[in-house]
Amino acid sequence: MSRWLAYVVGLGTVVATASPAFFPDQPDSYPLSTYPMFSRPRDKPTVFFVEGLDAAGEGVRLPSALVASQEVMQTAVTVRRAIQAGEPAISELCAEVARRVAASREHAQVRAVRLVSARFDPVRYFTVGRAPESLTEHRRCSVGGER
Amino acid sequence: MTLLSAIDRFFYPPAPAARLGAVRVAAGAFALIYLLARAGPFLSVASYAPRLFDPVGPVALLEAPLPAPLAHALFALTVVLAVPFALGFKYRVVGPLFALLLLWETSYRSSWGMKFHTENLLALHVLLLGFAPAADALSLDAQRRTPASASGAPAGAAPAEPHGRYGWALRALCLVTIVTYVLAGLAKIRNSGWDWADGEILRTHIAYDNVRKLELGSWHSPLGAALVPHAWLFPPLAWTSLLLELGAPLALLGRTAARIWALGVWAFHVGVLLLMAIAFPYPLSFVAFVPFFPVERWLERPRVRAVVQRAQALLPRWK
Repeated sequence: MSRWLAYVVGLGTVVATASPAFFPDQPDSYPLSTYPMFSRPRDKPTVFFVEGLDAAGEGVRLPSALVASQEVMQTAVTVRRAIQAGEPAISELCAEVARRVAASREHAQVRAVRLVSARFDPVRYFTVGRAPESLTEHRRCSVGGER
Repeated sequence: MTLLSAIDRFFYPPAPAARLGAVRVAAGAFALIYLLARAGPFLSVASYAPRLFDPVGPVALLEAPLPAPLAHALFALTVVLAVPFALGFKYRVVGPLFALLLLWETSYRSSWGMKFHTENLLALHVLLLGFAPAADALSLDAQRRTPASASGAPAGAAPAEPHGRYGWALRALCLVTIVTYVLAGLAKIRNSGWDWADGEILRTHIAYDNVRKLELGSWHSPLGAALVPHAWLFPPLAWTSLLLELGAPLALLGRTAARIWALGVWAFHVGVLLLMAIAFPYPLSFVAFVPFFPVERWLERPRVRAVVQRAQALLPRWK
């Protein structure tokens, strides 16, 4: 490889990698990133998730794969985006999860699923108790059709 | 000495082909293992709802997700090409092709709302390696060009003289690594100011990440959860993180500085794993830091050399 091409490829990649620093208002991307993870104050964040409910109305934790993806964080993003997008995304996701839960023998006790956002004080969670400061149910879907 | 020659000496320093070859073997082997280990998540994106498609990087060229069979085929091709990449076989074609495919695959996986910052550095390193002459030593291509000599030099012996055509790639690999850590440090200062150093933001992040995982039914870090109540622990952890990230360019000062920095950042990632159950496999494997070290000297040790020669004997020969 000639020297000038080495400069183009090598320095070009280095400069491209550094370039997001000069455009901090652009949304984060891949593979060029500002690496914003863990950089902003968190205060009291909201966690978006889908939970199952048994016949008594008790919460049943659903595996990530039943909700959206094998990747838990991917699933969390999927649920958050659906809730933030509003209808019809909320209803579509709720119905999809209900269908998958209905087909899962291990979750025969689940009668309904619900999309939830809950606001936690994360430090308080580990120092005082796990109860959320607030909880909003965005949609509840019946699973019981086939059961 | 003019400025241009100083830049040239910095960016185009002579380096042995074997060092670049060793980095290629390490990164290629890591990529192969990583792709196989994460095959499920890589393949599963093909079944995601199209409404979730939010393309990033080169995938932004697409207006809609690929058909699942094509997405699966591209992943399979990437895995297959990782082997000749690591072995340095037909590298002029395989090197760039694998680098671009890995960039595509990791970008495609990050095109569904969640960006996997754990993969940026691997993709960027392989991109540089793929377009560099990284198979001039420790490769099947080199073995074909320089068969074992009567004097005892092994097949595929590296070109004797260090040269800038190998040095630039190693320098660029180090610079890209450094830049990613500096950017992470700058993001903290930009988004939170120097308050980030007082540790409370880090403490809240560790707590939040564990809350989220517990509520989502994922693995969490019992150690991180146990340490959150102890606020005094977090200022030194925050300062150490910032020093390692913003101080990353110090690794260019010399081998000792590079060694100290690389070990520090590796320990930082071990800390992230222990406190947040977040694994950055590429830095944790230490492969990300191999370009900072004269690894070819380690390969020259008699015992290691014997292992390499035995491995070479197992590989298919091609003419």
